[in-house]
Amino acid sequence: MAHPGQDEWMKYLYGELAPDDHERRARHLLECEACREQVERWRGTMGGLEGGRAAYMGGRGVNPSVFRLTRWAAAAVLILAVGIFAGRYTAPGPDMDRLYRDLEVSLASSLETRLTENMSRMVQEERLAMANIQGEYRREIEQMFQGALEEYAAETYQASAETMDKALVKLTESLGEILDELDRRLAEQEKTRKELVNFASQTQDEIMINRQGLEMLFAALNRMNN
Amino acid sequence: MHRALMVKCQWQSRLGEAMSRSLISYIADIFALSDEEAMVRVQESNDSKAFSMLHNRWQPKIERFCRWQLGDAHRGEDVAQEVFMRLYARRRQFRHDGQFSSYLWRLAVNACYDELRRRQRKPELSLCVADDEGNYGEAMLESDEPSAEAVFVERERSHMIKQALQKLPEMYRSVVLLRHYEGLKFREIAAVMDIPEGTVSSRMAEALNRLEEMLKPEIGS
Repeated sequence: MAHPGQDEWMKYLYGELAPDDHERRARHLLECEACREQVERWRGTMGGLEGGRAAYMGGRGVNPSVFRLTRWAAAAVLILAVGIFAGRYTAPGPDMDRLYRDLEVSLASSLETRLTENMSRMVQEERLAMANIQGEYRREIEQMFQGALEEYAAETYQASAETMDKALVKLTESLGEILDELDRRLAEQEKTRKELVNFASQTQDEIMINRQGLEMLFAALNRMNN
Repeated sequence: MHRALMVKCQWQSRLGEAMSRSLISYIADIFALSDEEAMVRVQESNDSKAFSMLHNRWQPKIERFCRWQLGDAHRGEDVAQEVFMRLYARRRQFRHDGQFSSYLWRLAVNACYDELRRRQRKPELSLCVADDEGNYGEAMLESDEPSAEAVFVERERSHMIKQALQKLPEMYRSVVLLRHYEGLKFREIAAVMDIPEGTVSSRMAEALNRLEEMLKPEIGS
């Protein structure tokens, strides 16, 4: 069983893997006790580090006496601010309508362009993300289809190969039988030939004997006639 | 230290001057400018308002990273200011096609490394020393906060974690701080530290292995 490396487990623990890879690692943990134990130890340490997060994110570490002094300073600033606001409210106020108009114009002009650009960028990013997702789906479907085709081709080839083998076996057997038959017939032919040769020799001998007999008879007859 | 305080005062007055301009346009700019756009303005026209915006946005993160990377609140504060000084001094080196966050984090990591190396060459007493109860300057909480016992336990826990992190080699510690606390992705940290992504995640794993031993009592609870 192949085990993912430490660096891959770190990406798993910190949620940086693609969903498929995350799923594969999770399945591996179900099957592999050694990896499961190691990952659990790492999780425990990460949980331990969480105990320091508040201190890390918190404010600047200050000396207790400085902290008390800061509280008095903050109280003094608050009193001063209340005094300033009280003074401002009792004094003739500014033209709020004009301020609001200026604020509105300023914010609108500053934000309008930026909002438009941000929206365009977001739409572009969404399009890219959709294109990526579509691409991924297409590749996935192609892979699935390719896999199915290869499987079908492999099965078809396997079936064809088996049929060919059987046909070859039968052909071999048939050829063997034919060759046996040929041998048998050749043997018979040879036997017949030999018999014919014997018969021919015997016949020739008998013809010679008969001929000699006939010649002797003819000679005897000739002598008798004379 | 005296020099650092002087420079800090100088920077604070410049930032205060920048921030005293129109509040409305300042707010509008905060929503309008990205980090990269602001940095381009700083590069091209020495725009102090844009630089002030970047400083306000990033200073808390950089400072807390420096404090924990160096294990010293006061030095961390000084080094964080140093980071922004370097950012301004080297503003022309920022590439328009790069990411501002990676550039700034790289300055912070390198500034901390420089400080740690300087400390090794010239050891000095840390100004951030523990008090009689072993507290590193943590704020005292009033009695209307959660119970004193809970506060004590919390403080002890964070102290143990800080100490454990300080015992890690600096290259492991920076990865832990950036990934676990600052939430940067491994590939972002790789860009900051200019090392392969696999090396970053391997260092994270090794750091967790070492921290496991040191935090065993903490993890057990």
